[in-house]
Amino acid sequence: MQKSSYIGSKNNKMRGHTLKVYCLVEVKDKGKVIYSKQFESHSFVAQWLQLLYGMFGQNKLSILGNYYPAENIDINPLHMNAGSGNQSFGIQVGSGTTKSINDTALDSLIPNGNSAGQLAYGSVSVTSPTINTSTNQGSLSVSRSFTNNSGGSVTVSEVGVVVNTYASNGSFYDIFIIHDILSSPITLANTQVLTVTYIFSIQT
Amino acid sequence: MDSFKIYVIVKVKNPKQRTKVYRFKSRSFVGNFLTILSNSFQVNDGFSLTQAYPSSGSCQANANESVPGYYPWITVNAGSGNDSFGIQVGSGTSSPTITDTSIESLIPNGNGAGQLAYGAMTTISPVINSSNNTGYTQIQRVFINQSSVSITITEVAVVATFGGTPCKYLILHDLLPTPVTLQPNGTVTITYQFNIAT
Repeated sequence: MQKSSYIGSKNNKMRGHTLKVYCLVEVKDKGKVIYSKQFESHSFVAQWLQLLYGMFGQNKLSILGNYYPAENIDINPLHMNAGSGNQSFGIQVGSGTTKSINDTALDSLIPNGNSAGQLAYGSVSVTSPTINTSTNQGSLSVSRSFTNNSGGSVTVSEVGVVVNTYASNGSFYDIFIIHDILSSPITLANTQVLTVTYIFSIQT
Repeated sequence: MDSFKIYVIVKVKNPKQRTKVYRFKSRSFVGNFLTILSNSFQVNDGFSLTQAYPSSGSCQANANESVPGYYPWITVNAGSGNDSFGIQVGSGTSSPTITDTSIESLIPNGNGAGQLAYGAMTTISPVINSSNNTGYTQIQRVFINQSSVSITITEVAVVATFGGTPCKYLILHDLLPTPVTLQPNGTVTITYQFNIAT
């Protein structure tokens, strides 16, 4: 292999990061932020790789349900536009405390609703990418709010992301791709609002 | 643990030389990747992408197809001799930027001087290690120098296809930390490995 004079030169210094995903959790009480914490998500799960494999080669995937175990994914494989009250995809929250690479769901989903042990799921919002050409950095964010209308307290200890994909058989499938355990569980008092934001960041 | 890591594995085989393999961390998703993610998340009906060389011009991508079918999304399964998508190699030396839409200087498919024969793309099933919660999947392409002169590779890129049209758009662009010179009949295998650690 030939050595080149450009290796190690200042202008060609390797830099940046591949893809980082951050998770920001905020709690509001009567409109005022009373808790805010951001951490790096470490938890793409195996189904993310299977989705990539399916998309790269238009390969058939066994994760697309049991009835059609070998369907191709279709366009669009990454729906995140869940509406208000739809807990089946988008960002989800739960009360579990364990995770593994083979997870296909949250440990213990906190369902949508206004009863004890439930949270009202808002609609998922997605920002357009922000590109900074001077630093070669870019990001976009996906967020969702969860309101405690239960009359009691609800504790959130895990968050996750589920994408909704449209397969070649014309059916929709919900596929779990990210799972994070909060380092400190968050207890929401009645009427408090939790907002979870996932930030996808690149640096070229 | 990073959220998501990509490694580039370069395997070089020149006649009468030992095979050399090295690996480096890819750091260069470009802005198109975020554009695709954002529009896909939102299920947008139409958005514009600038196509990667040797394709040209912009194209209108649709992330809300109404008719079921086998549409590409981030698809790289180019066949043998097709240098318009999949893994590409080039001879540029400028640092990648986030607004790049093409490799800097594509080494085209062919058997003449300054060309390489592009093999078919290969996609490799995910490998999951449940004991340490790690996993990866790979895409790979072989390039052969069938000309009578040496050729040097300094950059690599991944061009994917999207939608029914389809659009061919750059998603990854990396400079090789060490240029690779292929002698006549030499081969290089470029592998992009996508890693997670839960």
